[in-house]
Amino acid sequence: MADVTTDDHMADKPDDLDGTTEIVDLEPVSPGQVDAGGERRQVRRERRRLLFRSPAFVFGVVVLSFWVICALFGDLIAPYAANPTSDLRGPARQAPSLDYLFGTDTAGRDVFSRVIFGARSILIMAPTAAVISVIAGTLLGLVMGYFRGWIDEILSRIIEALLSIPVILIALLALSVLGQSRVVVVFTVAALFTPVVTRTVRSSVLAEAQLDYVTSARLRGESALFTMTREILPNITSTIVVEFTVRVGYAVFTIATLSFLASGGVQPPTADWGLDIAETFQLIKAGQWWPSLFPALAIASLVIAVNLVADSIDRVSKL
Amino acid sequence: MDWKHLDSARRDAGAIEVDLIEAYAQGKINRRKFVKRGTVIGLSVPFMGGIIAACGGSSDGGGDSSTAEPGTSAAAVGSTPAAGGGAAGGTLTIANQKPSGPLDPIAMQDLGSYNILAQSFEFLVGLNDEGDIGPSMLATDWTPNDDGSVWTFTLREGVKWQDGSDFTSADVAATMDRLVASNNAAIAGVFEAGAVDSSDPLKAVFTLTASNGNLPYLVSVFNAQSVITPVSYEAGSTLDGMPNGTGPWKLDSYDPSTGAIFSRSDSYWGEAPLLDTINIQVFADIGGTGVTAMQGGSVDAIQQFSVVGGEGLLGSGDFTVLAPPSAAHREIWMKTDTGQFSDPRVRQALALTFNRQAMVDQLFTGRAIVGNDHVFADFLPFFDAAAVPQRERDIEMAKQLLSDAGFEGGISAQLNCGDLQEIPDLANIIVADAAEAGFNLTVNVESQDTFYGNQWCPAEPADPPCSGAAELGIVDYGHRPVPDTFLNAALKSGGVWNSSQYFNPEFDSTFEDYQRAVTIEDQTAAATSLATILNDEVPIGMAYFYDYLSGHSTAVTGMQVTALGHTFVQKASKS
Amino acid sequence: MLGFVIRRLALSIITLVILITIVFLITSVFPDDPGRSLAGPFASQEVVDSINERIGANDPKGEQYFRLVKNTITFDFGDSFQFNRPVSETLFPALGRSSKLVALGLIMTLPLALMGGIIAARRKDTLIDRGIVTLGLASSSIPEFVSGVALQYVLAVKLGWFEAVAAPNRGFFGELKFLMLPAFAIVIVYFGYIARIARAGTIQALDADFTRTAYMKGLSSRDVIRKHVLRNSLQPTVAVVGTQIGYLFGGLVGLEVIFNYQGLGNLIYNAAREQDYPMLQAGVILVAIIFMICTLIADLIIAWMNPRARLNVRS
Repeated sequence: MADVTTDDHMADKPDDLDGTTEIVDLEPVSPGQVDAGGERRQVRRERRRLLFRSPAFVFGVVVLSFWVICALFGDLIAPYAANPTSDLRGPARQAPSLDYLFGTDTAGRDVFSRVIFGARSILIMAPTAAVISVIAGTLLGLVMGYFRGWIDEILSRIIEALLSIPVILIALLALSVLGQSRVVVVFTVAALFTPVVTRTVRSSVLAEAQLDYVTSARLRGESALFTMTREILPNITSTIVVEFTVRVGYAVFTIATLSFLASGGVQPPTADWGLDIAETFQLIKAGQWWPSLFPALAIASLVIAVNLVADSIDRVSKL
Repeated sequence: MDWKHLDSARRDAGAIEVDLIEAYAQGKINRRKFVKRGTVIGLSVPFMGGIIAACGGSSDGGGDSSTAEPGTSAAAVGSTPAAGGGAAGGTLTIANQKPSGPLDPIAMQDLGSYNILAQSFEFLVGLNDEGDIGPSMLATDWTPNDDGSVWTFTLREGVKWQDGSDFTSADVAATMDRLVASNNAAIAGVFEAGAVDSSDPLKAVFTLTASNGNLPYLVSVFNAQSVITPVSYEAGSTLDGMPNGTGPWKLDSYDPSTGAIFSRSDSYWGEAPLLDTINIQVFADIGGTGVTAMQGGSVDAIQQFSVVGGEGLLGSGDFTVLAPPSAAHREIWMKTDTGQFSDPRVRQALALTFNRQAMVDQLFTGRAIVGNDHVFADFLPFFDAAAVPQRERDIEMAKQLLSDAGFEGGISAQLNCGDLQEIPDLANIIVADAAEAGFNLTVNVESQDTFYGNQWCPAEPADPPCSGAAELGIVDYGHRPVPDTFLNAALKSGGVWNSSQYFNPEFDSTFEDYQRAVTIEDQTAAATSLATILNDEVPIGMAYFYDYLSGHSTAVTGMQVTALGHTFVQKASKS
Repeated sequence: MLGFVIRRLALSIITLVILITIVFLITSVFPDDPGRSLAGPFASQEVVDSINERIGANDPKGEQYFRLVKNTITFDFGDSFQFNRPVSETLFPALGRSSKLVALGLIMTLPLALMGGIIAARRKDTLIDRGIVTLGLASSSIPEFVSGVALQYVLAVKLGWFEAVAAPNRGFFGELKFLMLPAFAIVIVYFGYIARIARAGTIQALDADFTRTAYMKGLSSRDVIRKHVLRNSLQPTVAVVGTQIGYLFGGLVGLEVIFNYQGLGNLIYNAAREQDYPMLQAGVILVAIIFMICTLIADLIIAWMNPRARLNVRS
């Protein structure tokens, strides 16, 4: 997944709606299902039923819930403090044992406890960045897709320019100038994800805008704002939901990578997965694999869980 | 005791030499300290051997040469002997810290640059086999006048620059003037521009602003910027811009992101090196990827590594550890002029929270010795660690001091540091340890260069230097064989690295006494007072001196390293 | 076809100009004066001022902007703040190294991923299909710096099969010995992703009318795949690979850091840490140019494979 942040949607060039290259992309809800509110609800119920019968989705949700619980109730779960004082520290560099499930690090801290506490920062930052980018991207995408014309033209070019650089590089560039704090990191990641979201939403809006119900709303003389928010938006919610879950996955990945590169806005000794890996991965070759392996597994499991959820929602939304 | 020999020696020697011989003969210093100090003031090894024999060899009262120095955690070894008739030819690849800036001999500030520069350029004063200073480079001999204010260095004959011109005392004079102009931390105030008389091309005569008993150290390998560069160099010249040198290696190519390649220099005055080329490969993170490269066999030697992350090398049968004598340490500075730490009781309180032994054990698995909030290492000929009582962890006392200073509710502060070796871990430990006494510290780790510029010594305001420093932080100090640089730059009023903003007239005048002291007794007295002042006032917390670790694969022999990053390989070979 | 190329190029140039503007906007908000970064904390103020004067940090912003545009055209970005020597002297060798790694990574990834994707498509909804897709999803969820370290430990340090970190100046085979490990890490990250695209493309092609026609004509399954399906299913894969190559050139920061490989990602990362703005600007713009060239080539290949796609670029 590395820097494939923009991936899913790179397959379709901004304007090819003929589907020649539209492969993994999310198709807009098919027109027949959308008109009546009751029908829509029924479709949703059906989708929800299908979702919960999918093992991938259930597995994803279980893992995700586990980490959310860790983030919320870490103090109750973790056997030790994330940064115990010297009298309470365990012996340094202990391999995993019953006393220290994931072993201890160089400073004698319990790795298991740090992994539990480490869920907190990433589970606050990643979804926040995803929410911001999805809100911004939806607004921009609605405007671009509905009005088209010069505003669409200009924004499309800017989006294209931003997408020509790996997110991680632009993030490093921006953070080197803006300084590093959690807030800056969240907004930077959100800003860098916005173009992708915008592009996805825009192509969904374009597809919707050609449909009868939009045309008739226009003919009725409804305002642009009303048409966008009341007519089009409800019909592209599934696109937006999928986009949000996908972005959460990428945000976890990107923020963990930034942390690893000491640019994630989190300062030691705060427990943080990416940072903990950065501090300890060099010990692997000395045989101390536990302080880095467990946070690494935590990142991987969280990203996989989010992706399984996103994938499943995407799948049912296409039915 | 052979009084006759001793007397004749006394007659031939100058005043400073006589004092030293006297101190040794009376048992005030041991043999090892006598030899160390004798080397500094330019006594030859045979001469010192004669004195030792005259005083009855090592059986005199002060002798302890058979046991390891107290305080060094292991026998300090900085070199492996050259193999007799080692295989000639080949390339030696050395993992080196990536230079943080241009290869500018005057402006460089990091071990990465030091080592690359020192392959081509030499110093006035080189190393002896024990890793202390010795007449192995451009000066073959040096002597002070009676009060130590004028020092005469005799230069090696027949030394040529790689461009074919002769090396003379004019090159030494020009280099020293450039050092003075750049405010070099070690020599600031010791001598001024134009201090070197170069009228005799083979004699460099230094006239100092005041007496100084340690001058040879200040123009040796241990003042890395004092590499002797040609007259044609000027401020801003770089090795890769103007490749030259008197040393054994000639720079072939340099790429800042991969490293430097040197080949044997035909114009080197000494014995030709056995190797054909050396490949100095640079690593942004020498203690991490550099160690991996060493473990995986991609490189033959490694400039430096830490205990943390280097366990695989320390335990390997294919790797020879080199641990040269080292006074490398970390200083936890606390701003003394303004802010929460301006009250000495607060600084003492923080120092009292340090669990020093636990730090040494956890961060260095014992390869370090506990510090006592001053910068005098026990291996110095003129210092005895027992003279200043060791500060131990005492949380109750720390709390008491904090409340006396009016901080019953505790103190919140940011602890700044760079991302270098064990320093972030040390910061974490300090935060946890200090919390118990009511310090609420948060760590701020930045890249080392950013940290230097933003927290440690911001350029503005420029006067006094470092007055823009953060309130609290941890900074790294590399090895110096004598603490003059540490004292001069970091602790003296207006010192260029004085991030504590420590201004203490008593300290300054004692430091002046120390610098001017040329007899071992005067040096010892001044050093002990300085250490006592520092321990009492705590402008810096100092938790440990750590071993500097370097080494090479067992296939390599004949390499000598210093704790300032140098890897000298002119005698090395690879089987 | 020529018209298509010209239109496509024009679009790229517009995009590039916008990108330069974005980079300028970000970096022209210099946090502190660049002369100070260049001269170091101990230089006197006069030295700092003279450097600022020399590199034009005091010039009006408009002038600085046009200088950046000019620098991009001539590809001469002046001296790096870190190294005090021309940016291009460091940048182009890094580009060369990145190219080697990317090329090897692709050579190893593409055949595997295409094969995986096609097999999964032909066995759609079977255990094999789910296995390949899930494995791909999982492996691409592991950050490359994590898989990189694991490979380093097992294959280099423990088994000694490869060099653990980059060892430059070792000749072709010497370099191959250490490039293999980061290339493996690229396989782990990209296999799943490219296989997924190839799978989707193949499924679509298998469902298409022309495939049914071919089967009806009595062609063997193998011939159908080779002659009809592959050509069509490859199109989306080519588009995606085109964009991903662009990202590979600068986006492998974590991997390059772990292997001490001095590619573009590492260079730009260090430039960001040291606030070396000329290097940062040059590096980011170079990566963008590479990205544009790669996507352009991908588009050309697609246009060549499928004439219909040529109509899809707006004038």
